[in-house]
Order: sequence, then C-alpha cells, then structure tokens
Amino acid sequence: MGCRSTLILKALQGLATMPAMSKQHQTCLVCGERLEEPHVYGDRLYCETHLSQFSDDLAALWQTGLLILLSLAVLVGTIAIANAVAPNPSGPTRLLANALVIGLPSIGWLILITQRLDGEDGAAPSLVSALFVLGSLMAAAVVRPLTNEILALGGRLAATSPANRFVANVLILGMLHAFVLYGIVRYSVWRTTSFSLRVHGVLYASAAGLGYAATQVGLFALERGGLSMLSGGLTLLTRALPFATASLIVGYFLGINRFENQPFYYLPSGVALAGAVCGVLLYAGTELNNIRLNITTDGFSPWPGFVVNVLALTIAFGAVYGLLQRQNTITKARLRLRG
Amino acid sequence: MSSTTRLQGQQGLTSEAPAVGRLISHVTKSDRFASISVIVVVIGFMSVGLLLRARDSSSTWLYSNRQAGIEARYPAEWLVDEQGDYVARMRDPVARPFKTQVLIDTVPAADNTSVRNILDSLTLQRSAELSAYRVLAVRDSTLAGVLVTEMDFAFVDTDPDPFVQRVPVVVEGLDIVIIDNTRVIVLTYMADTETFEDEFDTFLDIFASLSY
Repeated sequence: MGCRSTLILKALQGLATMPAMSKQHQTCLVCGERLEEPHVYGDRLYCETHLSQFSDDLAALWQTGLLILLSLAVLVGTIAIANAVAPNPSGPTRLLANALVIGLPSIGWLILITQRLDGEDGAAPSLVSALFVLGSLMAAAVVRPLTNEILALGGRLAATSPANRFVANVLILGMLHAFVLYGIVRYSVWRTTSFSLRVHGVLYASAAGLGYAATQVGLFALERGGLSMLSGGLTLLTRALPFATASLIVGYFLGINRFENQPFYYLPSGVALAGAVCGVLLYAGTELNNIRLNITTDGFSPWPGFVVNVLALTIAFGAVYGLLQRQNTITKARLRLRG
Repeated sequence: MSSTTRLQGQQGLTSEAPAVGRLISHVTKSDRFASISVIVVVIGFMSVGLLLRARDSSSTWLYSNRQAGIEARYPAEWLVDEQGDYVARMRDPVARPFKTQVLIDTVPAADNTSVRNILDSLTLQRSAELSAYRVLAVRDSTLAGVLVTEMDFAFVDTDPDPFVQRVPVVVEGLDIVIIDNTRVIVLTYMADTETFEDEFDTFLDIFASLSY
C-alpha cells in the first residue's frame, strides 16, 4: 500500500512538472529563444521573426549559380582557343591550366557568394567558406583514400563490364559521395542559428559540394601529372559536375526537412536520389566519351559526357530552384491565411 | 533573436555568445530516426554494391582465340590484349608497380624441335630486351596434373620514361612450355617478387582452364 502511494505521488509530481518541462522545450527552431507564445509550422516551433523569415528567398544564391553555369560556356570556349594556340603544353603549364579550369568555377563561386551575403539573410560567409574547406578536406583525407586505396575501385572499375561499372558507380561511389555531402552539412551547420532559411540547405551543400568537387578532380589531375588542355580540361569539368548536382539535391532535402517535420524516409530518399544521380552522371561522364568512329574503330571524345553532365546540372539547378520557390510561396500563403 | 541582435552577435558587439553557427539542440524523434535511416540506407546500398563487386571479382571470363585454337578463363577484372608479338596477354590493371600478367604464345615446331630449343630462344630474346635477365632454374614438373617443362627467371623492370621517378622493380617469371603437335605453346607468368606467390594460384587457374 505504501509502495503504491509513493508511486501515485511520483506520478502526480511528474504531472506537475510536465508543463514546466514542455515550456522549457518550447524554443524557436532557428534561434533557440524561449517562446511564450510559440508559432507552429510543419510540427516545428518558431518565434515570430523566424516564422516569417524561413521561407525567404536568397536571390544572390541563384544569381551566382546561374552566373557560374553561364561562365562554364565561356570557360570551355577559352579552353578550346587555348588548345588551338598551345595544344600540348609542358608539365607545369598543364597543371596551371588544369588548376584554372578547376578553380575558376569553384573558387569563383565561393568568392562571389561570400561577397554577396550581407548577414541580413542569416547566412554566415565564414561558414560558407568553412564548409567549402571541409568538403575539400573530406575529399582528400577520407573519400579518395577510401575509394582508391581501401576499396581500390579505380582500376577495378576500368577492368569490369559496363553493367558492373554502372552498378558500382551508383551503389558505391554515388551513395558514398552523396552521404559525405549530406553528412558535412547535416552534422555541422544544419542545427545552428546560421541555417535560418530553407534555401540555406542549397547554399551550404553547394559550398561543401564545390570544395569537394574541386579537390576530387584536382587530385585526379595531380596524380596524372596534369591533363591535356582540351580533352583533359573537359574531363575535369565533367568529373566535377556530378558532385555539384548531388550537392544541390542533398541541399534541397536538408532545407525542407530543417523547417518541417517530415516522415523518417524523407531524408534517406533524398540522399539516395542524390547518390543515384551522382552515380549515373559519374558513369555517363566516362562511358559516353567512348565513341564509335567507324564499324571497326572506337575512339575518345570528351564532349558527350560533358554535355550530358552540364545538362543534368542545369536541370537539377532549375528543378531545385522551382521546387524551393513553390514551397516558399505555399508557406507564405499559408502564413498569410493564418494571419 | 532579432536580425539586429544576430548582426551584433556576428560582429562581437554583445557579450552573448556569437550567433553565427550557434548550435540549437532542437532535434525531434523523427529527425533522429531520419538521421539513422540515412546511415542505414547508405550502408545498405553500398553493401549491395560491394557484394556485387565481390561476386564480379571472383568470376572469370572466357578468352577464346579461334585462329590460334586456344581458350582460357581469366579473372573478370583483368584486361586482355592481343596487340603484341604474342597470342594474348592477360594483365591485372591495378597491380602496382609491375602489372601481374600471363602471356600466351605459340611457336611453330618442327619434328626435331625440343623444349630446350624454345627455352634457349626465349632466353636469348629476353637477354637483349630485359634488364638483368637471369634464368634461375629449368625443370620438368607436373602442374595442375599436366607434365610440363618450367623455366624460372627474373629481371629488373624499369620505366622507359627517364623523367618518371620510380625505383626499378625485380620481376619474377615462370615459363611453361607445352609441345602440341606442330607447335609449342608457351605460357608465361610474371609478377613482382612481392606478389609472385600471392597471385600464383590465379596463374594456376588460368593454366588449368587452358584448352588447345
């Protein structure tokens, strides 16, 4: 009897403390401020400021992305002209040309975007740069040793059948790259005050993805002592584009899930989609370049893989932009309806 | 937190912890479950991929040359070429620094051609082409149930490009000579000394699958 009364007493004490506990947990998702009158959206709690802000757009991100996409065309034109002027540069000149091909889109994007972020949009330019570096370090210190040394995929993929190459690109390489890009954002900036807009998912994932891509292809070129001007330059760009595409997709899913409670399979689906796209593009980027010259002779052209990967990136960029705009418009309309 | 406070925080104007990148512990059960699910899904996909790769690694492909009348099975991950002065060369493309390889060649033989003639001819040819080529042993033996003549040899493999900085590699080799009516089939296995023993079973599998 005594034992039962103690249990009842403890239960009552628990009930008494419950409101206080729940009140303690009523903090804004973005800034962590305690909320007296919490606003709920998508099963998440917000302060008034961040409820109205999280669906804001970040025009600078899309403008910079578009500029970099367009600059790829200029870059390819420049490579073609340089190739006509000096088709076979020496080792150091090759490496310098490769470094420019890799660095101009990635570091150019980083410089432009950090210049255009003004703090009012909640994103921290220093964090964008940090994620770029983190992506770069992950590629050099974790992923390349894992894929090239431990799993020894490079040569083995070259030696197997196209079907096996496709499967390995999608299931092993694509998934690994997408997971690393997801992990960089999810376990660093995702739960911080600097992730205050939906579109920040794309911003941070792009920063990580471009750093990751630049290092991956940079090391690829270095290992080979520099690649040729046109074929090599286009190959480097082609190999970098799948990472950029995957980062856009991962960023989209992280941005949506940050501000709305989604089913548990939402993020895994997003990462799996990004991995599949990355894998398919990695495969296409190499496989499509083996072209048939005539009935008996095969040859190599860097163009088919490059064109397909650029198209894929452009489609992904447009789709992520359109979907985010749509989500943000719907959110704002819902909030307006609520008054 | 207002945007003004946030900006002040970024510039270090307030005594509060800077707002940039401040961790907000606001993770729901669904978020935790999703986080674990991502890891499980990625590990699942990668495991399937690695299993398929392992199956592919242990599988073999059939090499067939109708003109020479030779067939052999070789590891699916190896590459075959017929570009040199041999019937076929099967190579492990990922082997470093020297690509482990098996060469199949045929030499026309007259009635009075002996195995010793063929081995001497190989030795003369290789002495001119390969650095520090040495014959280590010649013996008759039974390999995979077949009576054959074996010749062990070694040489030093150097990169022909003088600008490539690589330590020369000592390569071990083994010739197997089989007399087949009017021709002699020479099977040559070469690998660097570090991997010679490890890959010898692969060579035996190729030899066992050889039909002519």
